Amino acid sequence: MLFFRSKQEAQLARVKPDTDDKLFTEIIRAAEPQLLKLWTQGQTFHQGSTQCKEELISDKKVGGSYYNCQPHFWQCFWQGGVTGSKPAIMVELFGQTYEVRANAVFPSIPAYSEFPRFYELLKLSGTGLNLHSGYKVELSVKEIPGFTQTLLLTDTCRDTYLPERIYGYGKRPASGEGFIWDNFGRRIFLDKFYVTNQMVNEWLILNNLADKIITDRSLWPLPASLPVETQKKYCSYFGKRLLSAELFDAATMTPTDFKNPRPLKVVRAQTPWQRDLSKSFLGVARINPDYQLTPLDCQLAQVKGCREKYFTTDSSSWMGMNFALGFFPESLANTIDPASTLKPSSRFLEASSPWHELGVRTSWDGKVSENIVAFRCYEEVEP
Amino acid sequence: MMYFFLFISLFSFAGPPRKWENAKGIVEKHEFYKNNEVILKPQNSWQSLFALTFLDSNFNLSKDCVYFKVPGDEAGKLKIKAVPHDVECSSEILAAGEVEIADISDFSFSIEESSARMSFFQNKKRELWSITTVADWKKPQPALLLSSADYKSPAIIYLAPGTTSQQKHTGIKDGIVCHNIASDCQELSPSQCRNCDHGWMEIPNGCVTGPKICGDAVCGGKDQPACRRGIVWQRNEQTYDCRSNTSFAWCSGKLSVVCDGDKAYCR
Repeated sequence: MLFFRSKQEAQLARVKPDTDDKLFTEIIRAAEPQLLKLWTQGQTFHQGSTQCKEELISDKKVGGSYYNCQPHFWQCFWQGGVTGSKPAIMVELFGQTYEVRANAVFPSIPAYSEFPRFYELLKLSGTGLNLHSGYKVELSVKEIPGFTQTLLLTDTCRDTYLPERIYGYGKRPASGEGFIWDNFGRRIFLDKFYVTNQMVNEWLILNNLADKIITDRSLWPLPASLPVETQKKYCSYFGKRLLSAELFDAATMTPTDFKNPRPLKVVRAQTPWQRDLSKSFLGVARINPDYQLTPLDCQLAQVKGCREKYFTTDSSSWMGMNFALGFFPESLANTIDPASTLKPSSRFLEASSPWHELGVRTSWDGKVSENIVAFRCYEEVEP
Repeated sequence: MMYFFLFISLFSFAGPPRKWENAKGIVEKHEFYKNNEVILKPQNSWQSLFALTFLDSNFNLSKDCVYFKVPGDEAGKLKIKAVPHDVECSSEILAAGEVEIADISDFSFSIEESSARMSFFQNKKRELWSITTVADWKKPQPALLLSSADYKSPAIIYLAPGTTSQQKHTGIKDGIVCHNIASDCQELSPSQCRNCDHGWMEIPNGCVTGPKICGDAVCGGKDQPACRRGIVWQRNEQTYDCRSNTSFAWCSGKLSVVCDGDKAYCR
């Protein structure tokens, strides 16, 4: 009959610890799933608006993913700035409800606000933790004063794994297989989104350059605009590298046979969602100058004429990376063709532009210009 | 003042130290004592029973050694001493502990994979200490949509309360070999690359895992290590040796793969 007891009954059946320190620990452990949800799925809490202008500005142009693993959302939530949400995690345990809270015990960051922080971003290289950074937070339980628990939250929202298989680089070759390679035995993780101004701000603060941060909150979710050498430095600081062209192609050219990681022929898809460009809206737009963009087109590839939107996941590629075509021009390291370091397909070009095709790249002088050149990082981890 | 605290710790305690609530692991278990066996021999000797590891607030791995003085001329004594994680408990067995509990009888302990228990009488009162390590984290298999953070560590890392070491962290500097692999593909020493300041780069040598150096240098450039191209895309099982087949590596633009011993570089 034990199998049929409800979860609550099962909890009641557990023996309540006889000391406050053990009870405190059990409450914190029980709060873990909700805590993780708040941290990694901030978007589910961000239903309405926020009232913490120093941390976040609610903007319909910004997709929900911006709020996931987002320290400013964490700060806003615990400051009581998320409309409709009490800044607490309620835990039912041993027939009682306990209120778990985060403590504002970390130094304020005057560049953001004078309010003490509910988190501290730390560089962790050399700690043996196998993490380059993490967010330290402190929790307490209202009903058991005098105890605190410090813990570290990791950024599990940032990147995604590139499966091991044989990949092709570049456009569909006229003959032969072109350049192919494989990543068997390697653990490569690619940023899902562009590096934002907010992320660069965090990096600047870690390097005692708070006076250089972008203070306009409305710009924080936008891709950071940096010279290529600074892009590389940013990635390197976190043990990562600037995304490379062959990895970009691997992440965006959908394989024809997922089950076979060693295909005899490596097919180069021309778009992430249609193998042949001619069958996609981009192909139709090339032959029809009057083509009218649909909302679905703009979800797949934000091109000229589409509404501006950031942190959308509608364009996700087969392995979870976003913004394969359209959106922003993107800087890429390229050791195969060193002169081809820019993905030009972007929201600055008409849908009919021949630049909207996977594997098509051009040169970039690496300097900041009027149009943002976005970038992202990747990390190779030891197996 | 110090004697006052020593007095307090000798004669009053309220269960195991709180930091043990965040124990990561149990190590250095006594070689001979069996689980739940009342410890009676060798009389009057100090024995190192086991140690608990945990992360302190400064992310250093710390260790609490648990010692027991076997009853003989006088009653047994339990001693707990914090030592750096790389110090063997046996080397500190005669040092004073942070916690020492005297007048102990009927002492036994047991160790399981992720828990420890100690049972004893003190002042005719039975004490039962149970310690459970923080949920054991197992490295996941890499899979679609898995993040690097989830692959490398638990999503939440608990830090032991009341413990702050002053040890500073220093990562491994750029250019230092962090994983030494011989030309016959044998690992010469365990990888330290996780401690590199700015990531690491593999120098391809045709092995499934090649040697690695710390740093953010880019592969494929002039006088740089070649980029790893893999040993599967060729679609034929063979041994890759830099001198006979360099298809496992590539170089930038017009540079060529050249061999420095078994390692592939670009010139």
